[in-house]
Formats: sequence, structure tokens, C-alpha cells
Amino acid sequence: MHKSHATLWKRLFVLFLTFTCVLTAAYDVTTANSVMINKALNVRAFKVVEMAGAENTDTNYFPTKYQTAEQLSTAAEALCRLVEGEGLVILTNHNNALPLPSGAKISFFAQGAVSPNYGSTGSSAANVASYGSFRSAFESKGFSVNGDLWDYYLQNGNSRTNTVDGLAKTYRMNEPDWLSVEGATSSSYERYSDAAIVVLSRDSGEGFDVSVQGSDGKDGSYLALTPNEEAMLAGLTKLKESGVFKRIILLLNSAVPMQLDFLFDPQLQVDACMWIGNMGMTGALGVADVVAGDVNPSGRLTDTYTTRQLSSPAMTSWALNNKGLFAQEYTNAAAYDLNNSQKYYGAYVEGIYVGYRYYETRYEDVVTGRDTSGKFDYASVAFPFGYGLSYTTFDYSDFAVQNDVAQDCYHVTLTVANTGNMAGREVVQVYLQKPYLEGGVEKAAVELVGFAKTSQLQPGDKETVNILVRGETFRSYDAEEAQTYVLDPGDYYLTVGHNAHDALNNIMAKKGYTPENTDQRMTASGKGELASVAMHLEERDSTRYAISPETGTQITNLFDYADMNRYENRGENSVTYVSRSDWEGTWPRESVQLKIANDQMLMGLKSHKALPVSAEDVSPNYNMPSGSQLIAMRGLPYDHSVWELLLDQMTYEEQALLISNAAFGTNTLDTIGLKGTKASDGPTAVSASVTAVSFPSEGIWASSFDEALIEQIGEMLAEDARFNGIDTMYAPGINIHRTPFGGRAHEYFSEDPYLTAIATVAEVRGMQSKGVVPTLKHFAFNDEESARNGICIWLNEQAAREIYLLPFEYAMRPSIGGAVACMSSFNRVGTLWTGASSALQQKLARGEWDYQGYFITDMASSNGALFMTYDDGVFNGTDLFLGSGSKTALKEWKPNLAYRNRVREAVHRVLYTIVNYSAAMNGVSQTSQVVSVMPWWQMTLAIAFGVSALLMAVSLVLCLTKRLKKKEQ
Amino acid sequence: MKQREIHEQKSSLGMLMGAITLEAVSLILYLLMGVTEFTPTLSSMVIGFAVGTVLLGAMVAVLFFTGRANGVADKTLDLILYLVYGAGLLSWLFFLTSEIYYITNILVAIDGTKLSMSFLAMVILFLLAWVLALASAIKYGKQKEDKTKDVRGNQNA
Repeated sequence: MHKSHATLWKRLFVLFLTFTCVLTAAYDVTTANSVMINKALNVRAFKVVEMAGAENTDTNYFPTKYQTAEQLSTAAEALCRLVEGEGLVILTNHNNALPLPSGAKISFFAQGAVSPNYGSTGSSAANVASYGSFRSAFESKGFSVNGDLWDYYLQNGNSRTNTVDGLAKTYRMNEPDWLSVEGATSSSYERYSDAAIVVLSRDSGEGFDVSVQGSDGKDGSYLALTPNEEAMLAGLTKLKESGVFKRIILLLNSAVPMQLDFLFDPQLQVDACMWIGNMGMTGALGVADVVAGDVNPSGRLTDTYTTRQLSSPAMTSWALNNKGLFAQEYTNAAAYDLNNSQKYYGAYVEGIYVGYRYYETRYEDVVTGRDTSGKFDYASVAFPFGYGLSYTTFDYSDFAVQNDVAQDCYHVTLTVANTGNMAGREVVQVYLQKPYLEGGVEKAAVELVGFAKTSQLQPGDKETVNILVRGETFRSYDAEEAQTYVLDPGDYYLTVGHNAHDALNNIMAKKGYTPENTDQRMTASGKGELASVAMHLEERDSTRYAISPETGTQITNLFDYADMNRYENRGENSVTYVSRSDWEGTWPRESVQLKIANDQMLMGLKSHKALPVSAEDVSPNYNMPSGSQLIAMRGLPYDHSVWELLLDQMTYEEQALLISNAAFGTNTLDTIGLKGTKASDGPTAVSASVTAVSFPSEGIWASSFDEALIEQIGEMLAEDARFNGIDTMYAPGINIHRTPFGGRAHEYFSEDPYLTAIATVAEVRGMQSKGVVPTLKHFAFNDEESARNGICIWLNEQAAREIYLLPFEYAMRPSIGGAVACMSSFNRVGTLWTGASSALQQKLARGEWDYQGYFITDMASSNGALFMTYDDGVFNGTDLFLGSGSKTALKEWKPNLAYRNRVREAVHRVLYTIVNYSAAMNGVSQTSQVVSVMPWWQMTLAIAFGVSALLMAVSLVLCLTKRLKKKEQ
Repeated sequence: MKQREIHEQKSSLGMLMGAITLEAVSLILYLLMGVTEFTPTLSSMVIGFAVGTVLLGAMVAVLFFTGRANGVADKTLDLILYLVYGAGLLSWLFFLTSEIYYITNILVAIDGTKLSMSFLAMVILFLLAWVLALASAIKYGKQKEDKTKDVRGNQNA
């Protein structure tokens, strides 16, 4: 009897021992990640208690518009449809193939028709299962869709694949063989012959760039037509010639720009082609609206579309690299035992000549005779930046430029007339040409500096458009001599154009160039009357824009350490940047080879750099109760003295917890009345939204050239966030489409920094109006994806400031965008991780731009764990870590008083942002008390652990007791 | 007598020695290869429980070898073996939780993170260590029960 009891207790002991072990580990890991779990389970770890006798005050600081999922979804669906219709771009429309006649019978071809891209992979992924198809969208417009062909593709069509090998992701289309498709489905064509609509989809996403080589595109690139796609278009052309189909329409369903050489192939007779991007939840309806003619397209390209994707300097250099990857290993990396976050680099050899800034500038140099190499052919450009067709036509007249000296801006006015037969909207684009001095600061031939979209103009209607151009857009950054922004002597032209190329032709016409007097090197006659010399300088001005208008700080070089030619530890390394002073002499001829030059450069790559110690540093106060509550700070300036009382109440450990444990939200802190916050990923959708709301690619938003519309998207994303209990979004993505192959193009707006900047400011405005904190990302130079974890980006300061940082500048400056949250990037700038770059975060953003908000890391406890360190990050301006830190996470650096003060500043910035911009503080008044509570899941785990441990102990004791009793017997 | 006892307990002891060896090898591997892109510092919990497993296991092994397993510790030795198992299990679990972001990245696969051989080896070795410790404890307990049965059988006879 005793024996069996003893055995039973022993078995129970083992059972509860096992439970206790498992629960111990589970409790440990879940507690470290509790913010993320609370967000995922949509639970709160706090409650708000109203003090007795409290007055009723309105604490709904940020009201929402929609109360139910149905209301929200309905509004979002309508907006997504509108965005797609306003943003898609008609590239060709021969013989007025579009719009289709009412009730047209359509045959959809290619796997993209049944398996289109609604979004992309990674942070902007959405649940697309419920999204409508092209078929349902087109049928809802009264079109008939070839069911046999649709079913064929449903059963056989979707075969897009990708494989990963190291840093390379090889995408393949695997489009079915045309003969098989035709053989199986041709009998149905004649019944649906009004249009053959071909949907070419291209995948892309976070973590990898799109394949430059190794894909089944005909030149190995994923962005080129595959042989099977070409055969399909050739087959359809024959069918059209034989009268089976009346027209061929091509839909480019891709965030990354495809190579469009085939549109100029006479053997492939595509009648109409439109870029539709990735479509979001109801974008297919927006496409159908345009195809049906219910919406007159007004989108304009946000990227240059080429006939040769490798023709830009950036891609020429990239394609020369090993395995066709942007990222290369330092040639002597093996000798230094570098890890994967240290050994890769990439160089921006093109300098400022990104996208149209290259093609149009070189075109002008060819036309004007500066470039006589004969190596450039403008036919490389299929459709220039800003290009797009409408179902109607517009004329410009009464162009005028007026300088407002007091406001330091220019007013560009003109009259837009609808000269066609259909109502529509026109995008007016203002471009600037700055004077280029031989061998001096690089200048692009044209730069977008303003735009506006007319209202809906009826045929024959006119509208006067007034576009404000900021005077500071005239500045250029001279990193070599003046080491600040300068205005070079010469003429500064402002012009309007239907696209970048048209604008440049107008400027050249103003200068007297014609196709005739340039031996037809000029592609078309420009309209000189649409260009004007807005400013003429006799001498260089190195002072006007050398002082920050926000802070009064002298602007000077901050990124010499990122320019290999100016980096003090460069050794024998150098980079040849492309220059219009010698296009051919500076053209990339071989892969840029860099090495670890010396121990100093090696040290730059290492983490945990020594923190300075100063005897003058004074420790901040801790744990000094004053009764101050965070909500009382609402509306107070960042530097108001009352903030100090609040911060004095906190312990160092509380501050450490707040800033180190910020994965998808921040913790509740009772002592200061801070509610926990929740953050979500996703530039084009709220991650895992219960409503499944998502919008098209950011490029489609930008191609609408409609600030008000983009602001509406910001508002709607924020509404969806709020509906999901989210108060912070890791969006918008505002890096640059440096090349067509960047994997994350879906999440970024454009190749143009100005358009990106204006779109960003609009979205930020929309989100902030709803109490959702938009987090700009990724600061900075995260324009490629492969090897992003710690890759060193080398570039010159002019390119950094004029191209890649401009959108962040506009968004962060309080006088323009007023954004208050920004995510640093995985990559390094030079050898330094961007989140450990004082130059970026403290000297530039805070020192020059007066950025008021906080910097958060990317995944600090994950991919970035090795180099996103608390010491390097906090000390150099990082305020929050997207990771699983704790109260003890920063104890190692507590003795350093300067570090303590930086921790305090970080907390101050985070709290300032939350109390003023986040709906998380809704419901908290000055008479409220925020109390931490253990969420149900954590309580369950704790109870389970306690019970298990108790039962384990009881079992052990009883087991031993029984045994001892037995021994006594 | 001592030799006969050791012989009887041979399989249990063998498993325990295996567990100790595997835990020690796992610990060494962890100390050498535990710092990765996803795990910048070694986990004190993993090290602590692994060391605990080895020391506690070694103590039990000494008791076996010296014959003291049949003395005072006899009544509790199987329970101590279960504690060896518990410590081993905890070292394995804390190893897994310390690698939670790495594991998540493999599952999410955004950056193409793949299972590394060193991680796999440590998972398997830590796992085998506690499985062997558990098996050793079960085996030892069963031997003791059989022995008790035999004694009772003899007394009844």
C-alpha cells in the first residue's frame, strides 16, 4: 500500500516537475515579449481609474469616424478603388483601344489574371483571401468574362516561384507554354473577342531584391518579359491579325517597374498598356472603372520605365557585381573574421543621377553637345518620369512665374484647358533646372519641385493653377568646397511639363534648341513659352541656405565618413562617382572593390564603442515623487520645465524598461500615468487587421499626384489602426526607388525625393489627425534589401542630402511635416549602423531639422541583435528599441552620467510624442490614475506556474514521507 | 557486493553518463557558438542549468561508483536523478527561448534565414541530454522497484 502511494507521488512529482520547467521557460520568454503578445491578443495591461469627485472632461482627444467594421470596410473599399483609379497610369492607348465599349466580352490571359498581386510580402502583407478578382470586378461593370479561359488559368496558371540561395532570391514567372494555353482554350476566344487582357504580375517583397540574373526573364532578369510571355503576346498578335481579338490590353500588375522594350516591338501589337501596381483590397474595381471609361485616368509615372533596365549607372554598377547582387563582401573580409552584419557593402556610384535625373541629364548633354561619346541613346527610356495618358487632352497657357522674396518662394501659375471630349483631371508638374558649371557641383537637368492636380475639368473648361515652389529647392549641396548648400551662378529655369522629358524639352526650347538645330538629337520640339528664368545669379551664393531655417545651425558636412573618397580611414579605397563632366570617363566599368583598409576602419564596424566620460556630467534625478502625471504635459512644449518634475519621478530601471522593451508597443508605467501603447507594421495595410483593409502600392498613391487623396489614405489607415486597437504605425516607407530592382518598392513612393517628400507629409498629416503616430522608415539609405542586416552603404553627401534624406527632412521639420517618430534602418552608413549615427540622428535630424520626436530601431532583438546595441544606439540618438529589453537592460551603462542623461532624453522624447500625438492617451484626464494590470494570459501562466510548483513540492514531500514511513516499518 | 550493485545499475549509470557527456558537450558548443547574429550574448540561464545538470549528474555518478547509492542516498537517488533531468530540460528550454527570434525568423523567412547546423546540433544534444537523464531516472527507479519486489518475494517465501 505504502509502496504504491510512494510511486504515485513520485510520478506526480515528475509530472509537475516537467510542467514547472516548461512553465518557467514559458513565463520568462513571454514576460520579455509581453508588449508584443498583448498587441497580438489585443489585450491591455492597464486600467484607468477615475478619482472620486473628478469632473467630467472630454478625454477623447482623437475621435474616430467609424464605429463598426462594416462602416470602416465600406469606406476603405471605396477609397482603395478611388486610389487605384486615380493612380494607375495609361502608358499606351493606340487607336483608342481604351475605354472598352459597354458590355464588351473579354478574355483574360496569363496567370497574373487569376493570381494577381494585391500586396507584397513582409511588413505590408495583408490577408488577401477575401479580395475580389479581376473577373468579379469586370463583371460588375457589365463586361462578360471568358469563363473557360479563366477556369483554365485557375487550374493551371499560378506557378510563380522563388528560391533563396544565400543573399539571392531568384524569382521565376513559369508562365505556362502558350501552345498549351491556346490548344486548351482557343475554342472560347471568338465568344469573348472584344479584348484580350493580359495581366503580367511580378512579385517582390521584404528581405530580398528582385533578381537581376538567374530568372526566366529573357535576359535573366525578372523584370524582362519571359520567352513564354513573349510567345503569348506574339500568339495573341496573330489572333488579332486574324480577326479573333479586336484589341490586346496589357496590365502591369507589379510594384517594381518592368522592362518595356517589347512595347516597341512591331511583332507584338499591344494596343493599350497600363501600370496598375499592386492593387490592394478593391483595386481591381478601380482598374475596371478606368477600362470601362467611368474614370478618366490621371495617374503619372513615379518611376522611369526603360527599355533596358541595366542602362542606368546604378544598375550598370550593380550588374557588374558578383552574382548580380548589390551587396558585395569586402575583399579581405575573411582575414578579419567579420560576421554577416559587418562584411557586406554597397556603393551608390551614381551620386545624384538616380532615375530620370540620369536619363534626362545625359539626354540634355547629348542634345547640347556636351556629351559626344555616342554611347547614350534616349531610346533607353520607354516612358519618362511623370508620363501618363488621359482619355482627354489638356493644353497649357498663360504660364508665369512670380518671385515672393519675403516668403522665399515662387508662384508658378498657368491655365489648364481640357481640349478633348471627356471630363478629366490633369497633373501639372513643375520642374527646375539649376545651372551646371563644368566640373563643379553635380546638377540634374531637371528636378521636380512642385505639382498640382486640377479639379475635374469638363471638355472645354479651363482652370488656373497656382503652384508654390519653395526657394530652398534651388539649393545644391557642395560637399567638396563650400561644404554646405550653395547657389551656383547662372540661370535657374522653372517650367511646367507633362512629364520630366517634356519639361526638359521646354527648357531647351527656351534656350533656343530645336530638333532641327540639334541634328534631331532633341526628341521633340519644346515649348519655350512654358519655361522661364526664375532667378539669375552672377556669383556663387554660399550663405543663403547655409543656415538651418529651423534651428539656426550652420549647415556643414556630416557624412564625410560615409563617402569613401572623404573617409579618413579609407586607406587605398576609392569610389568613382558618375559625373556629367565626363560621363564615359566616370561610367562604371567594373565592380566597386572595397576592402578593410586598416584597424580604424575595422573598429568602425565593431559594436560597443567606448562611451565618453566627462567630469562635468551631472546625474539626473530619480525616484522623486511630485505627483506629476503625463497627461498634464499634453500641449506643453518639449522644453517646458514641468517635464523635469515628471521625469524626476521615474527610476532608471523604469526608463530602461520603457526604451528597451518596445517591440510593437511600449509598456505601461503607473508612476507617471503612462498607458501602454500598441504599434503595427505595414505601410499599405495594418498588419493582421481584422478588417483586412489594404491599399495599393505606395507608388500608385504617389502617381495620383494628389496630396489630398494621400492624406485620406493616411486617415483611413489610421482609422483601421484605431479599430484594431493600434495607436502607432510603422509607416510610411519613404526610401527611394534607387533602381527598378529594389525588393521593397511596394512600400516606397518613387524614384523622386520631392514627390516622396510631399506624399509623406500628406500621409503623416492624415495619420496624425486620427491619433495614430506614423513612424517614418527606414532612416536611412535602405534602398535595397539583400544583405540589409548591417550592410555598409557608401555614398557622397550631395546624394545623401538631395536624394535620400530629403523626404525625411520634409517630414521631420516642424514647419513642414512635423512627424514625431522615425525608424532607423538595418544598414550602416559608412561603417556605422544608422541607429548609432550621431550625424544622422542628432546632428542632422535634431540639430538641423529640429526633429521633435523619437527614433526607434528596426528589429533590435532579432536580425539586428548583434549591432543594434543599447550603448551605441542610445548614446547616438536612438530612443526606443524594437525588442524585448527589461528594467535591467541598461544597467551596464548606468555609471556613465552622460548615458543616464541620454536615457532621460530618450524617455522625454517618447513621452512627448505619446502624450501629444497618440490616441493611446484617450480616456486619461488630469484626475485619472493609470494602473498596471496583469493581462489574462500572463495571469493564467503565473497561476499555472504557482500551482504546478506547489504540486511538485507537495508530491515530493509526500513521496519522501511515504518512503520514510515504509523504512520505519 | 559493490561491483554487483554497479553491474545492476549499469544501464542506468550508462545513460546518466551519456546525459552528463551530452550536456557538457552541448554547453561547450553553446559557449563556443552561442553568440550569433540573433543572439548577441550568452544566456546565463542556459549556462546555469547546464552546469547544474553536469554537476548534479556527476554527483549522482560518484554515488553510483562509490557504492553510496545504496546507503543514505538510496531513498532519494531516483528523485535526484529526476532533478538532473529537470535541470537538463530547463537548459534546453532556455536555449530555445534564447533563440526565439532566430526560430521566428526561420519560420517567417523574410530574410531567408535558414536552420544552421550549429543550432540544430545544440538543440539535439541538449534534447538528448535531458531525455537520457529522464531515461536514467526511470530505469533506476524501475530497478529499485524490482529489487524491492524481490526482497518482498523472498520475505513472503
